Amino acid sequence: MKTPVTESISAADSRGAYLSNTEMQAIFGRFSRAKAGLEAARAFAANSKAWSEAAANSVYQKFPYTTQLQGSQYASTPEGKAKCVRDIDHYLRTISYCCVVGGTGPLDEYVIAGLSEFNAALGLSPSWYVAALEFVRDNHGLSGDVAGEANIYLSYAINALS
Amino acid sequence: MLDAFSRVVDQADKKGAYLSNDEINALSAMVADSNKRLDIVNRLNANASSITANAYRALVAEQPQIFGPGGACFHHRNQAACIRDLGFVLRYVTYSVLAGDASVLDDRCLNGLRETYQALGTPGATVASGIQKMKDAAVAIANNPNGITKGDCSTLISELASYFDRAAGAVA
Repeated sequence: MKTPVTESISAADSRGAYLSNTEMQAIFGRFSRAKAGLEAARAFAANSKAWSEAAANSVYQKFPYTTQLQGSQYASTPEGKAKCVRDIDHYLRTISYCCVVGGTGPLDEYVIAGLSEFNAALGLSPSWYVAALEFVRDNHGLSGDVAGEANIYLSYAINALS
Repeated sequence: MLDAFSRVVDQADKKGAYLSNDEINALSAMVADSNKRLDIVNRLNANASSITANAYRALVAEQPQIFGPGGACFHHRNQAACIRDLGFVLRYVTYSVLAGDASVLDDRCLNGLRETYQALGTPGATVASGIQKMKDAAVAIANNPNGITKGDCSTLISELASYFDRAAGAVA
C-alpha cells in the first residue's frame, strides 16, 4: 500500500540501493507528523456514529429529494437511511486509515478505485457524499495538527468525488 | 508492501472496524521510538559493506569445503554472487526495519529464493549461516552504546534480529 514509508523504500529498491539521505529525511518527517494522524484516527473512532448520522441528516436537509425518491437505495425508508449512514461511515473509516498511514493509500485502494462505476451502477450521486464529507470537515470540532491531518484526507476524498 | 501502519489498517479493514485504542497506542509507542529506528538503519547503511564482507570471510573460514575446489561456491564468479546475495538480504532487512514490517523482505527477496537456490545448486544452509553472521554483526553495530545517550533498544534489536532469522529460515 502507498504510504510515505513504502514509497521511499520502493524508490530506493528500484535503484538497488540503501535509502538515500533524502529518503531518510522524508521518513523522518513522516514520523514527526504521525502523532497527530494517530490522534485524528482516535477521534474518528470515537465519533464515527455521531458524525456519520449528523452528516446524513445534513444531506437530507441540503437535498430534500433524497428522502422522497422511491427505491431501496434512497433515503425515503429507514432501510435506505441506514444504508446512507453505513456508506458515509465507510468513507470516514477509510479516511481514518489514511490518517494512520500518513498517506492516501487506503482511500486510493479501498474507495476511489472503481468509485464512479459503482455509483453509476447503483444510481447514487457523488454530490451527496461530497455534502456529507464537507459537513464532517466543517463540524468535526478538531483543532490544530490533528484537524490538519483529518482535513487533508477529507478534502482528498471530496476532490476525488467532485 | 505494507509498513507497520498499513499492516494494522489492512487488518482493521478486513473487519470493517476503526482502529482500537490499543492499536493506536501500540503505533504511538512505535512513533515515539522512531528516532532509534532511524538511527539503527543509518548505522547499518553506513556499515553495510563491512557487514557483508566480514560475514563472507567468516563463512569461508567455517565451511572451506564449500568455497574450495569441488565445492558449490568455488571460483570468483560464484563467490561474488554469494557476497552479492548477502548484500541483498542485508538491504531488504534494513528496508524492513524502516517499515517495521517484514512484507518487503518477504515479497521482494525471500519468496521463491529457496527454489532458486535449489535450481542453481546453491547450498541454502551455507547462505543461512552467512545470514546469521550478518545478524550478529548488525546487532552488535546497532546496539553499540558508545557515543550516544543510553536508552532501552531491546525491542528494536529483537525486531532487527527477527528479520535476519526470517531470512535464514527461508533458505535453510
